[in-house]
Formats: sequence, C-alpha cells, structure tokens
Amino acid sequence: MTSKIFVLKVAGGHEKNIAESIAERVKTKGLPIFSIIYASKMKGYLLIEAEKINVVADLSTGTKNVRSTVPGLMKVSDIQSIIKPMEVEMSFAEGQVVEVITGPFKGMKARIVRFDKDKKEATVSLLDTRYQLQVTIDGSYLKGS
Amino acid sequence: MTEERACRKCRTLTRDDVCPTCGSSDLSPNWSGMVIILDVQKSDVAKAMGVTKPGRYALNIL
Repeated sequence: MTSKIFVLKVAGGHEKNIAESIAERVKTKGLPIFSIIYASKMKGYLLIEAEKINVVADLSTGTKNVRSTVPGLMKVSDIQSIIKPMEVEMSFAEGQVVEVITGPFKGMKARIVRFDKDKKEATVSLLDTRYQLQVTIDGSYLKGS
Repeated sequence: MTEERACRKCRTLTRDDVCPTCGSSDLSPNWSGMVIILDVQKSDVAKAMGVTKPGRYALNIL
C-alpha cells in the first residue's frame, strides 16, 4: 500500500513545534505515521504522510493547536517540488565572463577566477571597477553571459 | 541553547558542530521548512528525498 499525504490545519506560526509534538506522540504511541512535513510556504498547515486518514483525524482531535483535517489527500508526487527543490546544475568555467544579477554588485560584469562546486561559491574578478577587485559570492548571484 | 543548523550535504538538522549523519562540518544556520522522517522503510517522502535514517531534515538551505 502506498502512503498518502494528508493535510492538517494548525495554528499559524507554531507549525514547527506542533510537528515536533506530533512526532513525539507518534513515537510514544507507535502510530502508523511515516513523516511530517512543514513547508515554510504553507503557513498554518502541516503535511502528514500516512496510509489511512483515521490516524491523521485522531491527531486533529487530541493535539494542542491542531485545528482540523483538510478534506482530500495528495500523493507524494504532488509535493515533489516541496520536498526535493529543483537543483539547478551550476557550473562556471575559469575565465568565463558572467553578470552579477543580485547583491551589492548587481549589474556588474565579472570574470570567474575559481568556482567551488560543493559550496556553489564563485570567486570572481569584477570587470566594471577601476582597480582589480576579487570577491567571493554565491553562485546563484551569477548569470552566464 | 545552541542554534539548530542544517547540514548542506544531507540536510540533517543538528545542534552539534558536526553532522551526526554524514560527518560533514558544512552546516548552515539559514534554513527553512522541516521534514520529520519517522519510518524510513514505509515513507515515500524519505525515498524521494534520498533519506536513509529517521530524523529531522531541513527542506531549504540557504
């Protein structure tokens, strides 16, 4: 049997604490709940992965700050974008000219000196300055041009 | 109490200086969203995330 995602309406601003108290309850009572998801974009809601709705409905009655169960259910594929953010393959070659798209150097052209793939950080030499200035900035701040 | 940080490699949340899951010390204090994996065997979310141990994981790490 595949697991389903149920939605709980909870008190806004307390999602993290509620998720932790539900997890404690699941552990002590041995409830068949497989995971609890709190997405920061979904304020006032928690996603509960379980097989059956009755376990989730029990949570909504016996847990502090849990308001109700939202009718309907989702599949794991529906929340794929939440749980697995699309990894943008980031790669810059040494010497490549790029544009800084955000931050204090926004709009400036720069040349890649080094690129750390693990940290996704690039050391760049800014081209629009009068003197040579090297800065290390996040790779997401750069756009290949 | 020490601030909770997320491992940039495996997303595990920890208050230690080293990630208890992968041993990495590349930890970020800037994270948002959380997944609590309770049953790795039955959880499809754990499979989708590539998680093999129960625990608390960050969704987004800055």
